[in-house]
Amino acid sequence: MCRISCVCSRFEASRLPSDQTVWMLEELLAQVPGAQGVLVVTASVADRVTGALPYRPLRLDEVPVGVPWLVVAGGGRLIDEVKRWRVERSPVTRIAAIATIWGSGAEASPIAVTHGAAKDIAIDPALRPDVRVRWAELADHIPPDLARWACGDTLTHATEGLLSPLGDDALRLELAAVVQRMVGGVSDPADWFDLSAAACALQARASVGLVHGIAHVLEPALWADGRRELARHARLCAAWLAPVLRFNLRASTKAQERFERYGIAPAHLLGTAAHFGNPQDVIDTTDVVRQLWPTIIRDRCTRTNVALVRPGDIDQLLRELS
Amino acid sequence: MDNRSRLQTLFEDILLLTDGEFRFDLRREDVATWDSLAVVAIATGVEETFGYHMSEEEAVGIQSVPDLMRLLEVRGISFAE
Repeated sequence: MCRISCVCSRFEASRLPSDQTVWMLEELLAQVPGAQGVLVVTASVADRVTGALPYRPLRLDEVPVGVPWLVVAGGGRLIDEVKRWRVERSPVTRIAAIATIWGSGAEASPIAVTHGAAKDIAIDPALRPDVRVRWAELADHIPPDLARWACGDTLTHATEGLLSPLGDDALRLELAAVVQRMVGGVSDPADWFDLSAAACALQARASVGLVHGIAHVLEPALWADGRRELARHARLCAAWLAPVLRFNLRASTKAQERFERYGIAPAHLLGTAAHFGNPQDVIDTTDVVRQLWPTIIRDRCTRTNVALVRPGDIDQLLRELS
Repeated sequence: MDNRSRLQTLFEDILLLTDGEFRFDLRREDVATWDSLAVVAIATGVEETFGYHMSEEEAVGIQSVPDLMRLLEVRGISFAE
């Protein structure tokens, strides 16, 4: 669970800026009879989910094309695989997505990430699940560090979306509300699921920035190097958000102007970001960031950062670590 | 650093040009890295470097270095040698 003091009232799901259908678990059971659906579930919650849902559990490669409903319960990677499967293999199938951890927002977004030698990002409205199912109790099993990094991932989506040069005023207002909510303090996992879904769905209408550029380049490199615990997307985003925010605030007046316009105090945001990340993770990945900087500045996320990121900026970024 | 040098550095950094690749008559079709994301970066970089916020239409309409110089000169930013 996130170790953040709760100082605000609970975020209301009805205020989420999304037109996606959201069901409670009871509504899923009422709307989708057992014979109408199959279940793809991640191993960590398989017993609990298969015990509570009437759908036949299958591996994704066993799911019959044309099945009316595919219920997926898992993290972002599994949900993205299911989203791609639907688009490529069975467009008539409807997807009900149950996130088992927040952060990626895969259950709400039209984005799917493919993991290979390099990360590939597809954006297509047809990728978005038809229904997001809220089952926050599944987060009970999440280790504290994973939960904290997932909070950092969520805050990164909202902050980089807010700062994106591709957004407009209406979108930024919605993203600012999400950022303010997170900076204010959130402790209920149900709220984090809702905030994560909102942040990801909203940033998909703009773009992300340098934090994601760093994470997308480092993940496969660290994995190939055997540093697999560090090669987690949420962990890297959580670690690099605060240094990149400081870099952006120093490199361009645009970030400061935007925070002021939307009523966000940079000091509070930086404090929240620093709480979610491990400072040691930044130190432990600095060598890879320096080595792969030419690739990082070519990343499509980096190229829509709020401040222009130049080849010579690596030293300035690394000065922000102290 | 004068405005011509600032402009050259901006394009070299965004389009990842090596020494000698930049020209003041450079056109978008001359450079593979001048893609749609570079358009976004050019708009960001122009605002940081010259303090002018381009509209979306202006940013998309820039097809060459001379196009950008003309746009900025109208706003009082001189590139005279």
